Amino acid sequence: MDKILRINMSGANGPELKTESLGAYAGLGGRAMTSTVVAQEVPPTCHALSAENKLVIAPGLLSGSAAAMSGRISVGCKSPLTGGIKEANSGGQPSQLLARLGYAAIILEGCPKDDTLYKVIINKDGVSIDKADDLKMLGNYDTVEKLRGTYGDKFGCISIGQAGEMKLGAATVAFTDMEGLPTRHAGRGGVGAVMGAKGIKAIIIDDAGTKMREPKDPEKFKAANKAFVAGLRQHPVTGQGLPAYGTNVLTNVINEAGGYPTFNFKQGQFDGAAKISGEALAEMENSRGGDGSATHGCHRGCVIRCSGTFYDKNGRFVTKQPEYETVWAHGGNCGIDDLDAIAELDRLDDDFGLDTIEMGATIAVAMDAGLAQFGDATAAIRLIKEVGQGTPLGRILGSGAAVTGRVFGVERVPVVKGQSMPAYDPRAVQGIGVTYATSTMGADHTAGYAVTANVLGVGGSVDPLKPQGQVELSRNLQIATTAIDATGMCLFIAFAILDQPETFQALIDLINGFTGLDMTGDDVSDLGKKILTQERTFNARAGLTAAHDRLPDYFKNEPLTPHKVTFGVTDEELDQVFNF
Amino acid sequence: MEPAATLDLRLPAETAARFTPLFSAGVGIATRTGIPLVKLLCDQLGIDEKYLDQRVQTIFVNARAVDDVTRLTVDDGDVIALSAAMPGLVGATLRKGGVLASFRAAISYSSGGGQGGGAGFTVVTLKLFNLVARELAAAILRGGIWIKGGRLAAFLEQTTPPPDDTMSVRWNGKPVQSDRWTALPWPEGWVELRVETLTV
Repeated sequence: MDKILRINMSGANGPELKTESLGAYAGLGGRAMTSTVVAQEVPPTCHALSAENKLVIAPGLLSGSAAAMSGRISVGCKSPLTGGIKEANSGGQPSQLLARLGYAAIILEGCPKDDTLYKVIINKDGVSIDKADDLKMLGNYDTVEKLRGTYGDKFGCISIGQAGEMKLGAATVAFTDMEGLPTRHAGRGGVGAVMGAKGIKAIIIDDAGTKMREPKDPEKFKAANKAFVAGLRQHPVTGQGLPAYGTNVLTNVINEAGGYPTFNFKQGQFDGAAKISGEALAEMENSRGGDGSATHGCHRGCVIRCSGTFYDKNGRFVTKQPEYETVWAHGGNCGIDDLDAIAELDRLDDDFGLDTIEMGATIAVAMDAGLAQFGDATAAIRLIKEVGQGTPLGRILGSGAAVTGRVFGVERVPVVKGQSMPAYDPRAVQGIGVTYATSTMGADHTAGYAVTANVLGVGGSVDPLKPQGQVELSRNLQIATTAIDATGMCLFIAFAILDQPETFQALIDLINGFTGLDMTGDDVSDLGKKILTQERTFNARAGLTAAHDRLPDYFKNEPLTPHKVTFGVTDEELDQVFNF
Repeated sequence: MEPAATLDLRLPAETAARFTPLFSAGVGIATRTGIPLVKLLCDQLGIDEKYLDQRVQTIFVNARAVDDVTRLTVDDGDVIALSAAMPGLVGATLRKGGVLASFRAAISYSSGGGQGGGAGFTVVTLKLFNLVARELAAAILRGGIWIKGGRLAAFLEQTTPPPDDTMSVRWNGKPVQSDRWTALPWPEGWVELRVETLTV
């Protein structure tokens, strides 16, 4: 990856394309690339939908190579949802394709002069941009289908649905999967709205005639990749639990722990959890059959294969296997215990280009406002369809939970920095509340992941049984996660790394074998700190202060059943998280 | 205390496997209060100690995450849940004795054990999730679980019995035609259910 593609939508004679060398951005990938570009080039106080904001799409450092699990792609910008810096990442095929074509980043700049919509075509011969008004207000599925008529079925596609065109705060950027369907999304923070503001409907990527990226040290790389894959396959989470049940395996366990937000975060257990659990979903998918039903990867090179394919009772494709957060958001959080209804909601979200977490949280807030009854799946589907249709109510809902709560006068709105909390109640698992509160990204469950401090040796050792360890652990996890996001590796590699030091070493060897560098664990954590510091600085300049690093007050005041606990981490403790 | 009825099933493996989801919502296990939890799990239910130590990475007692299972004793009406290691930050947080345990200090099992004392009869609820359910359910069903008559009737209503010549049904010790397993005189109280998997 030796070049950057810039597309300036404000050109005097229409969009201008420019391919340039990496310059100061050499060696960066994924989140490291997106956050560095945004921090360097975007005025922090600009409006997120203005010409000054930029949308950066960057494959991970190892994407396009033979490295297992390396197909994640990052999308960064100033977020219209949080007002701060944003990195959202996704699986799918485009990361590998872009990397093989040599692009370390695509940067969308400026704004078109009118409402003309464009598509970008990238292949080994170069880049072109055409008008695409025939794709206006099409969903992601119809968009990809229509493009197939022109470009065949071998391309990868990055697109937005109606939500992105309407510049809604919950809009995603979609990425096609191995089957060429737009099922993978950079979901969080409204990145799709920024792509919509740039007037780009789709980016078509054809890597025909390119080769896999070659490592600097092939022997070291090959040996490390082999050890890395073996580590993933032998671990009970990555080798057995995730392939068998997908991420939704968490439903029963989080519910049992009393940390499963139910009825818009009113209680910690849902009576219908077993009906929508990963075990129930796998059984349903296996009994219905079909290609890739219960076990499937989200991109080539994935060896964990935590995804799957959801078919209806008549064997028709509906959507990819809904993930845990989706099943929770549209399920227990809205009191819905019907997997077919949840799958339909997931399909609608993917088609309109909406973040499933944000929309599930929003529908639950709407239910609290009296727009529908908890448990009413038909009403939930109707509300999501309003978003796709662009009705006034739909535009409010598509702007996310914070806006919806404000419009309808709901106090219980589970957001931090305007972004909805995911599927874990921070009163039960208070450490994740620390991360929700302080993440540069707004409430985000992936901001601090299970790549433990004890492995990376960041910030000294922490006594896990002392409550005050939560702040230190959250800090260290956020640093480690940020570094992993830069590699383009799926975060689920974390479990094998957590338990198996030899697998962590294999990852370091993999990076070094590919890049020819001699990085250590300390270097990886330094990279994480550097990126986080950039992001914090950007947010501060954008006007985000310590007051934004807080959970809503009701988490401190309303005890959560069954444990009757409130969020007990003090503001002073939260303010210590970024003391590094 | 005796169950109100007993139901003994001998089933082909495919049909027997359909009983595994019963463990998601929990099944009754008749035992005695005051005994060590490990004794219930390993001696009574036959779970291998090494399996409990290594495979079962997540344990809840009454919805509280357990770090040291050896310190607990059985209390009246306990709800015990067993799971394999879980993905995600929170999944890792819930592991027994994990380095992220402080993250969920508010819901950790903090006492030294059950407070019940004595040695009275009790029916505890046992939940098995994910791989642990898949791997342990058959053996525990063979040993017998307690389940309320109404719930078992509703479950069997949804389960198609295999051909009569591939299975056997005994109600209170007496043979019953398999096509009548949904029409049994279900009591309101406990039924002791034993399921033996037939090998081909």
